[in-house]
Amino acid sequence: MAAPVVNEVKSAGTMVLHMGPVHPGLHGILSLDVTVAGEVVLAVRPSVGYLHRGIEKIAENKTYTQIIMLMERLDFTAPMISAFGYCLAVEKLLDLEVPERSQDIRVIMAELSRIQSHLVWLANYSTDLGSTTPAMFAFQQRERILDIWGMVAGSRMHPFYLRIGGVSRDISNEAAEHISEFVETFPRRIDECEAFLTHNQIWIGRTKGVGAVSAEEAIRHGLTGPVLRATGVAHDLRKVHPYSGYERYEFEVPVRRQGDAYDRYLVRINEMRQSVGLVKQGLAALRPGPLCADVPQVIPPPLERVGSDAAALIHHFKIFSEGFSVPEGQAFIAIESPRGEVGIFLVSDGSPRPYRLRVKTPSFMNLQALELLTRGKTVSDLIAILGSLDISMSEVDR
Amino acid sequence: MGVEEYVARTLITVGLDRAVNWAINKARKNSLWPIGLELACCALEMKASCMPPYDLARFGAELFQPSPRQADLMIVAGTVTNKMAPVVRRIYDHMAEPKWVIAMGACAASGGLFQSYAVLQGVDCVIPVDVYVPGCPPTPEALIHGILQLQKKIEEEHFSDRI
Amino acid sequence: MMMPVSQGNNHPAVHKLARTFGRSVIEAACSSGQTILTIGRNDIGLVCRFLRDDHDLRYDHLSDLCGVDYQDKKPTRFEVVYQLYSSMLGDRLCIRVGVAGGDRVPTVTDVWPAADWLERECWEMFGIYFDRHPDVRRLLTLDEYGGFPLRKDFPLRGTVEIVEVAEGGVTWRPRS
Repeated sequence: MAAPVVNEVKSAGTMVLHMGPVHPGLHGILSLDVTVAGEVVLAVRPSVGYLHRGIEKIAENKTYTQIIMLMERLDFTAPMISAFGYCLAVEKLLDLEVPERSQDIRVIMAELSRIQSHLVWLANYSTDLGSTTPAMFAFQQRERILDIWGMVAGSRMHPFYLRIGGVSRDISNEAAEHISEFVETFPRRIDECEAFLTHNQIWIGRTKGVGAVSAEEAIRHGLTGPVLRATGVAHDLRKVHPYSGYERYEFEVPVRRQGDAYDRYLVRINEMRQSVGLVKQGLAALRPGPLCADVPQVIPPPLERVGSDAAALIHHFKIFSEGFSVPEGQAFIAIESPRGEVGIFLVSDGSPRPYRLRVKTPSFMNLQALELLTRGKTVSDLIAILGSLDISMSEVDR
Repeated sequence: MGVEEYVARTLITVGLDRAVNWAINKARKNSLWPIGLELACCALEMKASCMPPYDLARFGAELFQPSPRQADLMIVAGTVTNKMAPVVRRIYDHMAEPKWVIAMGACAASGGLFQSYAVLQGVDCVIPVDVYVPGCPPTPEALIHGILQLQKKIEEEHFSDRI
Repeated sequence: MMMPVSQGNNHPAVHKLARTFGRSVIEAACSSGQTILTIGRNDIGLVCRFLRDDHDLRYDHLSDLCGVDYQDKKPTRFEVVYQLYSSMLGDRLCIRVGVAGGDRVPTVTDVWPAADWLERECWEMFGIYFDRHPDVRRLLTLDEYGGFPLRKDFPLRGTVEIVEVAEGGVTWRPRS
């Protein structure tokens, strides 16, 4: 999609409004050059790259386990999910079977990540459009999820919990109780947030009919996730190409028809409800069993064995000093993150470091389409549309 | 020195100066209005510190200003890239004195995890930093501790250092 | 869940493409359960349009487009990798195009507008130029970095660093 060069559009009566890179309404560092005629937006040219950290280049110099830490920082509102896709890609190249208990734990953590991401989105979006109380509610619920991660993994954000081949430690009974308590009470909290917004005339006025896109345009422009599902396309990778045991879970894919900002809001609210159901099913499905596959060349042996078994000691030493090697080849894995389809393309040359790690992120694709959605709308609609796309700049810039 | 001179030079001048300094520093430290530079992951913990249960408002610092002209404190929350460095510097220059800087997180302090071609290895390469809050990301309690440390630093300064 | 499509040489796209484009289809392989087609560089635009429009294939999604620098490991230094998805078949297809240094690749922005920023990023990271792309400009990086960062001969820490940022601008110096 061509972005018209700003100078060609400028004529008498138009003005270029420069927004960002630091702006309270643009969450994350994004610079927009908006050509306006009065209030009407004629063209939008985003400038990105203010958070480009070179993650793909850094990954070529790290071991496969160290990269999990990098991947968590790629999309910091849903850290478990970014790492999830990456682990699946490496496991595909290694041809590694993850035990069922770890699969269920990963699903539980991924769905909690999804809820957490949508809560952050709700907080930011409602604040953008002038309603600050839902933000307080959302962040308070988010704290409960972060406490769960602190219990399970030791860290609030960036838990570094997933490992190649499984997860790093088991869920304790106390943590499982907290998760259970959370999913029992959380649906009421979603109801409270909805009470502020869903039938609120100001909210409807700001979002209904704003930034609508057709299903066909959405597919051509590579839009995925809630943005695509709000146009009527029931494309959710957890249903269409299930991974990590999702085929054993029952859930609905929320879909709307109009493709506007209001529909995207409703899709995300309903996704939170579906995620609650998935977490409940995950907890019920947990059976005793191993956490990681028994592949000592890749998965470090238990510390108790390292002291007494020479082979275990050698594996432990090699894994933590040099890293494990992954067979030559390439793999592409796509998973459903809260924003859409995250695609991980991994090329290995047989060494302990990836030859090429490429991450395609949904925010990158969704942000490209901003001008398509905003042309002809007002500047205030621009904020409403940008918020409804749920852009994470760390995903866009990597 | 006679008694009158002692009273004039020491007790009144120095005492008055100390009293005025105490009052101004107390006013400054208890109403630090941040411009939160929401760069990356630390921004979420910074926002969380304003929300229940951490509540930065207790310390007078909850009024995040969108404009640098009206802010006293810049909290650099996240990775500063080479592309962003001139922007951070310009925002810092636009802030009126007195102004302080907190480098929140490992990335703002030293580049953190990202030792690459695109990342500035610490925001102190472009602006002077008063307090470093380590962590990746620092918890909201750590940020609040950093703000309290900054308040102690302000108490020890003389108000005329930042005019 | 969709029925799986045959992979490798039996993939439905292989025969159709071979009939229409002949020698442009250089190789059909299979890696980790996904078919990888190697296509001649000059025909990639036409091949993509065919894959999108064919009523039996319908590769309507462009999932990803990226570059890889193989240095001297392969006959051509670079490869542009396209990840396509057909919602009708539920199948992912990978297409590779070999690019020697200085070669130009036809753009696919007229087939999928989603390729716009993807091709811009591929150019700025590897120096692979896309013919008739509407807006070839740096997206994520700066000109001052002095090169194409994801090339294997570009150092991780870069070649320059910021010395000073002041009202007049940014001062850079070569990294020691």
